[in-house]
Amino acid sequence: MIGLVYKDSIERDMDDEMRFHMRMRAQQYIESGMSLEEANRQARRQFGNVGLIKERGRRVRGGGLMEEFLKDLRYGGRTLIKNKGFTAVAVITLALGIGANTAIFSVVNSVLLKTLPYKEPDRIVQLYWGWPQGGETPNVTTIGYDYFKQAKSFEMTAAYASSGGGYNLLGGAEPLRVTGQAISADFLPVLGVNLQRGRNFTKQEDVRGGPCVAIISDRLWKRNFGGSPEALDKSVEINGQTCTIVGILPSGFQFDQPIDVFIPLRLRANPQDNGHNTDMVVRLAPGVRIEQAQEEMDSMLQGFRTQYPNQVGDHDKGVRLHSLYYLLVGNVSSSLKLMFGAVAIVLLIACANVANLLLARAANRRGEMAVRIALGASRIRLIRQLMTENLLLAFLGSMLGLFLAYWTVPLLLAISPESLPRSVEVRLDSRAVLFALVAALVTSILFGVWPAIHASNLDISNALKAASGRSGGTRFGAGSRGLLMIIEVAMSLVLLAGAALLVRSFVKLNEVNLGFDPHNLTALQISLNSASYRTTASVVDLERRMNDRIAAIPGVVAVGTVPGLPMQNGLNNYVYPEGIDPDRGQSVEARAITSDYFRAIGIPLISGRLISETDANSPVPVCVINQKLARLFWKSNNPAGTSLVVGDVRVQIVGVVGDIREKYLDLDAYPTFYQPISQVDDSMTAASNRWFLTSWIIRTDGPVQLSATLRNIVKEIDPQLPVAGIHPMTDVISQSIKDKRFLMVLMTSFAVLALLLTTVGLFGVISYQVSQRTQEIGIRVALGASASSILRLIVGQGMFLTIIGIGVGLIASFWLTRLMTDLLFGVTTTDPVTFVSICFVLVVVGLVACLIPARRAMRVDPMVALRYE
Amino acid sequence: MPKQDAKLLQGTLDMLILKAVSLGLMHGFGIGNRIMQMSEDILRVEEGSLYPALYRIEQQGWIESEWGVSENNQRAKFYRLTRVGRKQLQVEEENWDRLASAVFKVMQTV
Repeated sequence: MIGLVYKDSIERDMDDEMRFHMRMRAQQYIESGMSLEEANRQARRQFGNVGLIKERGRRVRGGGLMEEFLKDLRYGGRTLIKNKGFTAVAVITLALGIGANTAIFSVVNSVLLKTLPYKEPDRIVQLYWGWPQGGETPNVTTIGYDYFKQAKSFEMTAAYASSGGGYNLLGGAEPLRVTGQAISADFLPVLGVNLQRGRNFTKQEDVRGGPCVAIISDRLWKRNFGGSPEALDKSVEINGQTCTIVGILPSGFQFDQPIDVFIPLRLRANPQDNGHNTDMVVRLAPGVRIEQAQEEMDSMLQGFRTQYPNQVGDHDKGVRLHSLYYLLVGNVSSSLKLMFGAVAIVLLIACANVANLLLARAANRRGEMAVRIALGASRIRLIRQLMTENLLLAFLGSMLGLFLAYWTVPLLLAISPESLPRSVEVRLDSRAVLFALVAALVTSILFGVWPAIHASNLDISNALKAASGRSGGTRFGAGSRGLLMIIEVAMSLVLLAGAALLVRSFVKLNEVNLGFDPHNLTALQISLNSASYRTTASVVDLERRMNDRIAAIPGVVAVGTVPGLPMQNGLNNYVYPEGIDPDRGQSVEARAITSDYFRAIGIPLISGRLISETDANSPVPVCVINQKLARLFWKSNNPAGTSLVVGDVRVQIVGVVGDIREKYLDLDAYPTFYQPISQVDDSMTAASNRWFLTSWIIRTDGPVQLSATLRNIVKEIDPQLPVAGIHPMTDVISQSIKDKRFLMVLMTSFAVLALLLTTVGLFGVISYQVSQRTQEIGIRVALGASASSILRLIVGQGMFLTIIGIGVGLIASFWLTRLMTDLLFGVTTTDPVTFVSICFVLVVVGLVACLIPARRAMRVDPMVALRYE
Repeated sequence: MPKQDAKLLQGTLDMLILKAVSLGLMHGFGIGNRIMQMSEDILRVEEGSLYPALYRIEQQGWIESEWGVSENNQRAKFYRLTRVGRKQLQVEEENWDRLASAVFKVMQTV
């Protein structure tokens, strides 16, 4: 052990000792009559191989490992610098593999692996509601919250609104539209989050009629209030209401989505409302396990059903508890793991490529190995030296990869969907750096061990002969290279399969029948959440004036208004068909529209008639319902003549229209009823404006650029109105599938990268084989072989490897794609069309990779080849 | 110089070195010389065997070393027997006696 530390002095010691010995020996020879020179020469020769003795001495002493390692390192460095081409290719290949892995690891680490940044996060639990078909949604009703919060298993309970939204904020540096959410006073204490400045909401502020207060995020504080302490107690206007800022959240705080403004929820338990719009998050009492709490929930269900029968469906499963981790991260965890698996495969392919390079180089290093063996190095020593070189290579690749990852992670974040949880925490941190270093170690073993063993395996005479390069490369080496190539092709196929399946899923998703034609449709969104539009009459007037002006624009076919957007959540209202028990109603979507809405959006009429202008001006309440709602209550498509009871108003149904898909295209439509906006009462209108933007849906006869014209119209009609946005409907739809697209894009990138690496690898292997067999090819040509037979020979070799690789890959894919079932839509995991296409792609890739070396083989001049010694 | 070099087993060489060192503080060159003299020129230890053996024995703790000045005023590394080493020498000597007499008995049988 001392040898490891005092290596230099031990070296010097041994040198001194040897020198002394030699001098004494020389002295002896001189005394016996030799000359000085002769004596010295004899003494040295007598001594034999000093290096060997020192080596043996070193080994015996057990130390010297450290100094050997350093020596190998220096030697390895020199070798790598001498072979710049090889080093560059190997380092870049490794950097791509390790870099991609580190980037994905950073995301996986920050989102899945790190503990949540709250106090004792494993004691925080979210309440879900279990539906009969097995689905669960993470929300309850207002009454549900009131009831279940009394459970003894819960130390603290809090509620928040199911969806945050956009809020209008005035009073900062500039008017802004920000993200906002309503939370109860206990929300921050349940999470255990402390504000950096100011205070949380009090109970008094969290009830109806309480003063309006707000808590803002650190990001908003710095951006819009200059990070100044005067922001506290400042009065601002939120959605038309005057509020005081009472608290500022710490930087880096994020719950589900990044939210900038929090206002009190003011939950009011309403037994009539069975819409699941309230999220409930609780902190378990000390010592209580989640299973025990679940049992308490189950036991409370019967009591809840008895007291509030309209809140619990016949086959509902009741409250289900899940950890906060599950809520925030659960639905991306499988996708992220898939990503990580895919990128790991890319790294394996990169390692295989580097291994191939090393195997090829091993042939060139025969001479060097032979000399080392002659000087006394053992095989293990050689392998150690080669592995040190590989480690250096891997380390360089890892450093370059880290550099690449550092720039890639922010890019990944930028293109990732907003639904990526904990996105604020994603960064390349020390754990990621550690990962890159470990990856370097592991990959150096993966790609290095086999070539090192192979390179050190030789007997000296053959090695020194073969150093002249004449032999055709060992059979052994060729076999390994071929095997590696087959593995590479197989892995590429697996990745391609995954990517192709996702692509087809995505295409199918896009082809889903939305229920309307989204082309040539523009949505103009405006927030009517201000004092001027709290009555129906004012809104009706605005909409009429706007519609008249917009309809007059050349190219516009129809225009209608609706709160919210088609395909996004609308206002919920509790309704029941007239004549049945009021408690057997449903919470459905309520849309208050102008009469031309259906024509503008293009929903077909199924039975009865649409809402007309006459209806809008008459006091008789009418509505149109969608097929989903019709089948829900009447089990048929034609309930015209019957009425719905909305609130306490009897509304006649005049027609049934087709369904529109909801936000997530793979879900069914939501039961909806449509009323003329003029028939909605003031409080409903005000509430709607508070929660939703009003959208003008404009159908044009072709692609028309409406943006500037629309803004002018708005400014003319009411300059105080902020335009929230003007979007083509096709954009709105693509937003909703952004998640799936993200996954697809990533997977495809990895597959392409893998394919690239495999092509380069195959190209390298075939080229090398051609160069090794130059003599043989020359002989064949000289004996009369045609150019095409040479071509067939070389391409045949390459395609042989490719075909076997495809075979192995297919078997592996059929087995592995089963893991992807949840992520697919409309395609099975063994979709034949997909697999046939990717096999075709790989065959083409194989041919392309073989072509250039094959052409070189064809041009071999037999005279040159035979003379090539 | 006579060409006969008796090939020594590693264990035997260790024992001879221990014996040589037991006679007093000596450097590597001197130990080799001493063995040669004591065996009347029959046993000549090559440097390639001597030093590795010395280092190995030192590692075992049977001898210890220190730097000093040789008889001709040069810096040299000297070795001496440790207490453990003295005991080890005894053990090896006993083993060797037993081995040698056994071999002798076999060879005496007609």
